[in-house]
Amino acid sequence: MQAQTEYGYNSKIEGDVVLTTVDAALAWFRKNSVWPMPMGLACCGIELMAVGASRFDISRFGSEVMRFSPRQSDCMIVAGTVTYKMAGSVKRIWDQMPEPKWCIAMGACASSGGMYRSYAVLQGIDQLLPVDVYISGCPPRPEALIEGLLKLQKKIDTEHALADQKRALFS
Amino acid sequence: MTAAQALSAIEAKFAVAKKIEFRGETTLMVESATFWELAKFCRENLGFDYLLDISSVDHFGEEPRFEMVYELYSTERGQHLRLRRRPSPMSGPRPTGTSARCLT
Repeated sequence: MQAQTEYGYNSKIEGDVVLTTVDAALAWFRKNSVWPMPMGLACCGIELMAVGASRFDISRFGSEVMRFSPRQSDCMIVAGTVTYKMAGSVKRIWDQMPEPKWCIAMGACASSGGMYRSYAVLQGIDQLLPVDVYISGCPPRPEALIEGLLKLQKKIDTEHALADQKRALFS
Repeated sequence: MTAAQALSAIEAKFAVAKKIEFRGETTLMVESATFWELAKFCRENLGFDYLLDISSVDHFGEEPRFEMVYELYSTERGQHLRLRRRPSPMSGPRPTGTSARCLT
């Protein structure tokens, strides 16, 4: 892109300057490097591994860096049946993740309890965490998870990073 | 809307072949001819906005042999509804829906 207006003081970068807003730039950075926290709890976790492997290759969408430390991740992918025994740990790890963070409920169990209509199983992780994307399937195909990630990227793209931060800090 | 209200709304509008209640889970056996209209009605009018899962049953030796099972779910109310139909083999392919849903 060639800009005709003179923006830079340095003649070497003149004509190579792209103007944008901080919000748009931040959203662009964030959506293209979503670092997932792989919360694999059951068979959906196996599909999640397939998404990370070579055939489906989630690195095409900038999300290959699975972080097992919540401090370094910004998207929790809850993949599998959330039992009450595990729910506390899931919530704790979610709380340890720094803002901004997002959550994908992968599969029928994480979305609603799935086929486990049982006293031992949480009926959907959205009872504990705010879920951004629900993915259906038992388990979902890797393509479905990738589509879910693309939808999340679209959502991140529309967020107003700076404005929201200001609102959180000064409200 | 309670599950009972949703069911009566369906039964008022469509002919349901059979209704099965088992431990608080409702299953409707639906005729293939009206199935897609009924499913659309559930999504657009009754708030079953999430198709959790599609599976199938093989009734070997019976005709029609295969049965499709659709798990509908309302993300707002946390209600489940299971629809089952036995399509005839000649009914052909159907358009698929998107599998991911985004709350924006």
